[in-house]
This record gives sequence, C-alpha cells and structure tokens, in this order.
Amino acid sequence: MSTSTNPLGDLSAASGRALKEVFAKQLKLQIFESPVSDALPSLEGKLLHSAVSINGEKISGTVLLQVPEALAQHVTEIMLGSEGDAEEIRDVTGELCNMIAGRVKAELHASGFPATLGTPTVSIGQRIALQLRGESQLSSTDWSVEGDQSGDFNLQVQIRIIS
Amino acid sequence: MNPKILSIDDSKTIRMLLKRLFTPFVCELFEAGDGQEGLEVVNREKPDLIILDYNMPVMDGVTMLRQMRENTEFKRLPVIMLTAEASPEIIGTVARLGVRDYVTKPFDSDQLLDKVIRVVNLERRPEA
Repeated sequence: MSTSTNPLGDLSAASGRALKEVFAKQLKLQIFESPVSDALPSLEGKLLHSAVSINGEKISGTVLLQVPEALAQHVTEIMLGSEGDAEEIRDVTGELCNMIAGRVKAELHASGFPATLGTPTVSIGQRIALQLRGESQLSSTDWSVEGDQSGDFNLQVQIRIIS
Repeated sequence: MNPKILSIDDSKTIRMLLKRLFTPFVCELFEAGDGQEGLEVVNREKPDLIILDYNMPVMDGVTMLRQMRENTEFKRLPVIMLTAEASPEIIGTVARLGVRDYVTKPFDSDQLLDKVIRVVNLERRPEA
C-alpha cells in the first residue's frame, strides 16, 4: 500500500471502505488486504482492468480495478446467477468499478470536492500502475477474497487537485 | 393486467440482475440502455414503474426524467432511482422531479424489491 500526503483526506482508507462495502453488499463476499511484501505483489497473468474517471471543478482522477480473469468469472456468476460470456464478465467488472468509484466520489464530496463519474472502460492486459502527477494522491492496495483461490486483485485510486 | 416495469441502465449487468430479481413475479420487464431509448420505451409501453440509472451515455437519467415529466401523461409515473451517484444535489433534483425512492449502488436486491412492491402489485408466478 502506498499513499502520499493528504489534502483530500485518507484516500487509502476511503477506497478500502468503498471496496469492502461493494463486495459485502453486492456479492456477499468478505475481502481482506493482502500483506505488503518487498517483492512485487503476486498479480500475474491476464487481468481485467476497469477504470472510471472522477472529475470535478477542483479534482480530477481515476479509479482502477484490476482483477484476475478467474475472479472476474467468479463474481460474474455471483452477480448474474450463471456463468457469463466474455462480454458479460467485462460488463460485471466495469459495473463493480463504477460502484466503487461512486462510493469514493461520495467521500470526496463529503470532504468538499464534488465531482461526477465517467462511464466505465474495461480492457484486458498485464498489471499496470497509475502514476503520481503534480499535486496528486495515489492509493494502491492488493486485496484477496476470503476462501477464493483466484489470486489477489488490485484497486488504485489517483486523485489530482486542480490548481 | 400485469404490471410493466422498465429498467433503464447502461450496464447490462444491472439489467440482467433486475431480470433475475423479477423473473419469479408476474410482470412484464422492459429494458433500455440510456435515457433516449428509455423515453422511446416509455412512450410505446407506458410502464407502471421505471427503475432508472443516472450516469448513462447519450442521455442521463435526470435529463430523461425532465423530458418525460413534460408529458402530462407521465407526470406521475413512479420512478425509483438506482445509481452509484449519491450527491445531495442529484438527490434533491430528482426528488423535485417526483422520484419515489432512491437506491444507491451497491444495493441489496431484497431491499430494492421491497421498494418496488410498495409501488406495483407483484404476485409470484405459480410453481411450474
């Protein structure tokens, strides 16, 4: 987990609360933060990336969810009650990111930074990392689903204050 | 007559989730992927209830709601918002546009169903 200085409040805590709420309420799954190690986190292979932009008069940023394909399939089955096809799996991943971004946005609004959400974009690839730019905050945390062997997943939230 | 429910959401996931939620009940479920398409379905099907997202491409939920309320026929058509958007401004705006209830995503399906049942009469389908 990494977090810089904090004009927006504790972004890492806010994103963690958002993620836990979405998994508990929508999927009935408990998640826990993966231990921080010196080595690169074990997020390998094909990942589904879902990103939602957050833009307001005073802030601009991105919420990025990276999920192993097997976990994306698992949550799709929970959400839809059946094994989804490739398009449905992408859509579920996008919708989860949208829900997480909505909760993060609500916390930013409460801290005096109103904003609007973009629509989710979903792609497939290797692990990527958002970069700190200008006066921005970045939170990146790996998580695991209790009892699931699909591997860790990652949530990154990057918010930049517009000067 | 069976109640007609219209789900307007750009997320296929949410539309499928609602379809799954309402399948056990005697009702007709219609879908639209944005506000513009939603207006077309409203005019054509005259639903008894709309479950409406806010943040959608082409036409967002508030714009759709404003345009729909301009038609006197749909001035009182019940609408439940189902959205990840939870800002007080949007909640206030849709309240002034006569929205019955507001559910934020993530959501509990049973709680949404309770709110729907307060608006339309849903009967369980007989066991096959």
